[in-house]
Amino acid sequence: MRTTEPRRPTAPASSDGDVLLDVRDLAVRIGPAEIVNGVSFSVPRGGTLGIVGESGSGKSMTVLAATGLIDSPPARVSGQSLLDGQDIVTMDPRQLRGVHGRRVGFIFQDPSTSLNPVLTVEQQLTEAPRFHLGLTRRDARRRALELLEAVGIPDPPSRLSSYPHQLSGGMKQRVMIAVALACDPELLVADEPTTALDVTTQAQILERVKELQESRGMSVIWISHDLGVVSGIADRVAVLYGGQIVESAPLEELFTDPRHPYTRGLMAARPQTAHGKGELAVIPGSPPDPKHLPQGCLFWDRCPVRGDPRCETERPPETPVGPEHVVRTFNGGDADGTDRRGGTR
Amino acid sequence: MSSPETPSSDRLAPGAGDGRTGPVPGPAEPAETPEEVSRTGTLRMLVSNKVTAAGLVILVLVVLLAVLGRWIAPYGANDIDVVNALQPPSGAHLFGTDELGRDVFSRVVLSARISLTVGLVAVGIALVVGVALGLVAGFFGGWPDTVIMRSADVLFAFPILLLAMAIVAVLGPGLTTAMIAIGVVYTPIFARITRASTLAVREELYVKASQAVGASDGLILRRHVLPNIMGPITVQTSLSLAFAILSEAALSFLGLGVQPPEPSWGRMLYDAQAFIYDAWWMSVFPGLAIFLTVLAFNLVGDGMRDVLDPRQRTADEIRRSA
Amino acid sequence: MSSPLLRFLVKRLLHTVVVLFGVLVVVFALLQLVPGDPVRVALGTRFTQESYDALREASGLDRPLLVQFFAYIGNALTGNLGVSFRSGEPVTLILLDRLPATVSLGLAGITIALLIAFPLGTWAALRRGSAADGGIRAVSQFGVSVPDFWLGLLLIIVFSTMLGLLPPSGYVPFTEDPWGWLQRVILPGLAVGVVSGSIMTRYVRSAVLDVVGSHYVRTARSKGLPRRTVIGRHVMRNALVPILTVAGVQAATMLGGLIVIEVVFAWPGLGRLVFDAVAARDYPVVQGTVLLIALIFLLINLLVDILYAVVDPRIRVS
Repeated sequence: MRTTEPRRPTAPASSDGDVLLDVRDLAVRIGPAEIVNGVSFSVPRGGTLGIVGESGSGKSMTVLAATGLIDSPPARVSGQSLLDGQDIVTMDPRQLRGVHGRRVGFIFQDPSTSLNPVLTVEQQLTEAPRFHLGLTRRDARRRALELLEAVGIPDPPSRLSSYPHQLSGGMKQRVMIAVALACDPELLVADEPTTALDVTTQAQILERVKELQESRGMSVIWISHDLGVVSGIADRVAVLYGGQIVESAPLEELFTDPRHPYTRGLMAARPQTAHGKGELAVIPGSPPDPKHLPQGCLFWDRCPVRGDPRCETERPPETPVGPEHVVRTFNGGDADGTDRRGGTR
Repeated sequence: MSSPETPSSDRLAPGAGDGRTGPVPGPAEPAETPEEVSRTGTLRMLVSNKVTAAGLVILVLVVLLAVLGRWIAPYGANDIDVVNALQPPSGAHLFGTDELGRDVFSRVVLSARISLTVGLVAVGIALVVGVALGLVAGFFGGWPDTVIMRSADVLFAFPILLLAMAIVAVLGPGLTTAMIAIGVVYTPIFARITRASTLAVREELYVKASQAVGASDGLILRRHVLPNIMGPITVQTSLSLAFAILSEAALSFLGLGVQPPEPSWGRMLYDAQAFIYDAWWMSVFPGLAIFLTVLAFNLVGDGMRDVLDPRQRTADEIRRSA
Repeated sequence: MSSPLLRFLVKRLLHTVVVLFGVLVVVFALLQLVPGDPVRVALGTRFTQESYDALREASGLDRPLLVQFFAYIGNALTGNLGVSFRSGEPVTLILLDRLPATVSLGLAGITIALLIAFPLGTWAALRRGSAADGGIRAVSQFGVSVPDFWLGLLLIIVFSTMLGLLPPSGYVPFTEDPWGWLQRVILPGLAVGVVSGSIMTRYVRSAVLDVVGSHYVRTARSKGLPRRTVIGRHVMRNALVPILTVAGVQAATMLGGLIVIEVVFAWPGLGRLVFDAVAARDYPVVQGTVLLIALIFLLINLLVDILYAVVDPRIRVS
């Protein structure tokens, strides 16, 4: 893989035991496509990592590969993803089954297609606890009721026998969250869970996940194309572009002192309302084709700065610009944070 | 080719009543986008798929047999030679001889013309009538649509062979009857496909725009609708040819199609039944000829579908059409 | 029963009734379309004025067309399909006599088709792009293209003539001699089942492929469930919905195949009956058989609709 810095500046300086998931130099290829290109990050126990990028940035692939939910083959995954020190990348299917649903729960983007249309809520909600925890039908049912209550579904007993098509989008996503939390996972992966929902529902879901995270001490990886959504939940944000982390920092720092031109573009594209539907397309152009990645900086063709002669020929390395802040650019990476935009063009 | 339109809810319909020619959703795996198609050219794309190319090769061979059969066949179709009756395959008789000493190879070769003719004429009838009815139904809607499509539903309720048999029962057996019967039976399939494609096109903005500026129905049909249905229709034509040939063979096998002395594959199999214990070659070779011809049309049809009609029939579309 | 299901079923039932009416029109028209006088044609060399008059009156052909039509429909609805031109027997009785043989062969054929289509189609889909997938697709393409009657002949040559394993033809009712029935049903059942099974294999494959790529199957996998639970519970149940749809449509192919296969194997069912009747120009029997087979097709499709509602809650409950 191209990025082989031995150090992992993205990981907070915490080599002690409170790191739950530690991803090192993860790469994913499918055929000739280089979809994830050396991503390293870590998720502290009880903490929330936001992963931001536009569609095609490889954010979902990164997290699905890190959690072993990618089909391999056809995908080829390299690097490490340590869950409490055990590498998910090298796990066999049986070991993965012990992780999925049990230690890591998942919520996906579109609640209307993510639930099985021919099974009742109860059937979908109880199968993981019955399998992983060996609960009886009766216990699993009781647990399902508690879960529905916990995710804020009114009248849980009557909802157990509902089919997905009888629920609204927001209700479906709450059921998905209940499914993901059914076995008390240590990590919740939320892959754009609010994108398909209206703004009000989006806010409610976000609040609910935050509450559940705090009450359960669970870690969360929240994937979104919307910095605004992520700002409502994450402690730390990684910005992905072309399958690489271009910038990673604690939430406040990223907002007050964005260093990468792409991050700045995302900021500019963000509407002022915190939970508004931000459109990232304001940065002209589209992400690089993973089958034909450029030799130099992956952002080069869309970059408004491009000040450095190395931009077109070299990939910028991850550069620390603060104790927990790294950026991958030749422009704006200075520790003093000078905006060099004006000087170069 | 214009971009494929959203298939209407009738996607499954073309297959109804004849699952064999129906849109088999599985093999429709569009590997290319329409843009790529127009760039590389349909034929090149067809040939680039090895399986389709094999189908094309067989097809060309069958057509050559049909055209040049008279010069290829070493004997006449009805050269009787009782002394050499029921001879197994040999140098003199590649596929052996039948109960009258006729050369099975020659008869297989000479039957190609009949089978292809029946298939082409029958599908030609179905194509012309079906497309016309489908255009009327899809473009004008209203009661013509209801009448045409309900009639298609009714025809679909009969198994193809049974309907063809019933028509033969009425009109009497023979080559012409067989062509008419098979043509009638395959008409609803073309009507349904055409209607579905027409409905989809009719809703397009550019068609509405043409109508708004006063383009005549005829112009809209020629300019917008026909080009759009060409893909699915071409595919269906190839697949229907395969099954029209199968239907003709079945009818002739039942003694209701091509009548002696004209040789035909189905009829040869009918005759072979009486000698099934003594002369396997009488059963094997004519059947192999039918099989290969049908296979060739199927392979080419499937290949064309991937190129010309690349919309995926998702489970959802099938479900909606129910 | 909740109301959406009821509404769905009523809608399908009404559609069936409309189509059935059309079927009756077609079947009635068959006799009218015969060029010349069908009774004269039917009697052929057996023509005598007495038999002609008797037949003509028995079949009501001397009455005006509309009267005949409504009489035909009225009679058909009460189970009276006229009398055979050839034997003078009531057509309904002849049909009932032949029905069990066809049903038993049809069931054998469907069983074989399903035994082929489900495992192979699912297997191919789950190993998409593999050699097994390619092989299954090739074999099913062959199966779709093979003439069923030729397959029947080949089966007789191989299993009866060459290996001497199974009887080449004939029929014993299941109720009289199950073992004898089974021996005789295997070859014709295979001839029908292989073709239908090949077609269905392709549908099963694509239906399973669609479902395997769906989001809810990803959800099921994200729960860490065993593979067989994911496939059995989440994939197959959903794939069944589109598969059922084509199964109903396939019934027509199957019924068509039965006709010619019954002729090959001397199986005394409806196919053999209509074959003989067409040859003898016994029009009432042709009409009756065509009507009955179309009715069976419509009933199968109605049954499929009901199964459909059982499998898919979106139809059952709102």
